[in-house]
Amino acid sequence: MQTFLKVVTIVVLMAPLLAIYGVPFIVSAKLFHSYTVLWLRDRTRLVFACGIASLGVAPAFDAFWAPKSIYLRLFDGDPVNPGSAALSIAVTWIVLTLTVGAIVRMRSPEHI
Amino acid sequence: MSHRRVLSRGLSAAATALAALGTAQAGTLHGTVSSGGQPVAGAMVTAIDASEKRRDTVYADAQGRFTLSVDFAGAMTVRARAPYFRDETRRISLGAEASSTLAFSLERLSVAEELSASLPASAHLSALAWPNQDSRSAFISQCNYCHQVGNALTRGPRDEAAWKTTVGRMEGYFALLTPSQAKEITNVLAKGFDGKPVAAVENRPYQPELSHAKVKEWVVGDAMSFIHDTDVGQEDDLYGSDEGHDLIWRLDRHDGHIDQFRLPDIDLPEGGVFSGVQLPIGVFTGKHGPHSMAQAKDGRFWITNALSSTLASFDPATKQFKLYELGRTHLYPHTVRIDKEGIVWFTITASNEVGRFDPKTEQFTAIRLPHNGFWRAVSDYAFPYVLKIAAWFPKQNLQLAVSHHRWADQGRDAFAFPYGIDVNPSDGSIWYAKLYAHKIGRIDPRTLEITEFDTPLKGPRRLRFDPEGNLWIPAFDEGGLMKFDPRTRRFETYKLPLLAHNEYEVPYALNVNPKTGDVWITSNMSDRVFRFDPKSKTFVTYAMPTRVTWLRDLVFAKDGGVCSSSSNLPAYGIEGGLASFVCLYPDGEHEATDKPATVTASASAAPIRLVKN
Repeated sequence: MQTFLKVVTIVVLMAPLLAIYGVPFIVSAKLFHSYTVLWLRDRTRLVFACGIASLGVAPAFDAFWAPKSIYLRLFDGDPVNPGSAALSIAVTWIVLTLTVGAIVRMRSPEHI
Repeated sequence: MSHRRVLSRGLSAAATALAALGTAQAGTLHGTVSSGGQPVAGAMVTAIDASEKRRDTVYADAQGRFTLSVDFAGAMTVRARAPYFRDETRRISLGAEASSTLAFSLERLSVAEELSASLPASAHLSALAWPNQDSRSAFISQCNYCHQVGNALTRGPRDEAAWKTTVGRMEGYFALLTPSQAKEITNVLAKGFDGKPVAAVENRPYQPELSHAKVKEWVVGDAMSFIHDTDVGQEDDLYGSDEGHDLIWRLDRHDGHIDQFRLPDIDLPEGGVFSGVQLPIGVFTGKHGPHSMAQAKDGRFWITNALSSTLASFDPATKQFKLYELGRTHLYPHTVRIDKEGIVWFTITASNEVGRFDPKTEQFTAIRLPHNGFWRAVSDYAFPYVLKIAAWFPKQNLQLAVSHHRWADQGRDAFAFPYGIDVNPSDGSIWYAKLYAHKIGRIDPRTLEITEFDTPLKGPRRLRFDPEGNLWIPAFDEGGLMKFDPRTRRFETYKLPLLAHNEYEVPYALNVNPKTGDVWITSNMSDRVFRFDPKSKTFVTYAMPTRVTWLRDLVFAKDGGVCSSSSNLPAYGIEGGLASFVCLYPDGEHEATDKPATVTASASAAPIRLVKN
């Protein structure tokens, strides 16, 4: 449990850096979200866009639990466990979708 | 000396005398050290008492002759040691006031493994092949920070996975490496320390000054003791701060009696403010981490407690401590000095500050030093809070997961690390060295205005003034000595003498003898101590008799001893497995009485061969 709390603390502290690491993917997600407005429903667009962003933001950890985006670890030639990477992307995807969804709902006209 | 102390000393001295058939009663050993009929000049002859707690050493003169006045009586081992020769030991019994003659005939080492094992860490390090200067300089700066690498404890062959674990553990102990430096160092150590003997050729010319010198060692503590700094008290006793165990040790060199004083408890977990950090297990069991000390005119010692962010005073007369909280964002109070006004000045290393404490008003002022760059500013502001968060998870090294020294690839450049400090005797100004920013700085003691200067050599560590107001600075990263004249603002640099061209030294500290002006410097990778004569600009090199000699602050005792603590971390890495107080008497303990005959010729203890692995 303590390790879990430690990792959560680390991810929260390092979230701004992970967001910076994920900028190329976040930009891609934003473009996807904008260009698919005519073809996909809002909810679907949001889920897929968050999936794209999570590919750039999802962290892989080293021996000290230092997070770095999975794609950057692969780019650097660091070993990345495929199972852990998939889990990290899935969790990040869910967290991003829920967070962005909540923000979108709060900014929607019904909430103003 | 108080009556109580006199009585206490008398009782303890009597007890020691009864137990050990008398101490401080010199018997004398005379003799020669030779090999194949030739004298072995510079050979070290060491008497080791039966309990192996005391060692007295002299050096053979150019004719191989020695005279050793031994402080202890009874059964003892006498060892003759010289580079490239097998140690020869004799077990003898020497009565007080007695005299004995010994003739050592040393056998030259011919088996490669034995020869290699006899070499100091610096020789073994020459076997490492570095892919680039960045990883080599990171290794020198960070992996020799507290101990030798390349000695018997640390050079054992290990595979890459084992070295990765070791290097990772050292990062937890504050080795500030980038991920790529850690990877390269791991790789180099795994390949370089392969268990094969090294065939180093070291140049050890005999210097006649050695024949006057004597080295005395007093074993203190246990295999986990970490006596960081030594200071000499007004009564000429030695005091040592055991950073791991929250103890102050006191040694009376006349009767060999050792006392220990425990710092008062504090409402902090083990590791103090650094409780989130996994400090060396078994060594760091305290909360305060007493690091350095300096004695004020009123007799009180002022002690920087690195882990608890406190300053302590210790009165040797009453044996009472008093703690002063500095605030827990002031991280790692380090070297401490006292100026003529009695103001206590100390560096605060990990938060890039200098502390000023007035004992009269008990007021503490933290002087924020220049950041020296963006990433160092990030450290200065963020690191105290990172450590606070890390403390939520004791000993789990959370700081390593979030620190920009790793993710921003800054390594040790992420910190400035103000380290040594001293007071200019000419104008009372305060000068400090920044170990990682490669700067020295001046603080005006009245206005607190700060001026900084870049040093020509990297790694300025514990600096000291000479009586003329020149500042002497050891360059840890580059094995050098720097002299800075504050009047002209000009540097002079000197390279320390190496045993071989591809070895290096990591001079941690120096001090200037106030009587002679000689600069004494630690070597730390080759078990030697240097004396530099500023007039002739020449070095005298003293080989130390105990392998794995890693010395910190050097202090001068009234009896002529140049003293320090052997504080390789861990102590069990030192030959014999224990820390000690060490005093080197360059002119012998008893003026002129035990000097060998005048030197008329010089020879070398070491063969000079030009072969290199």
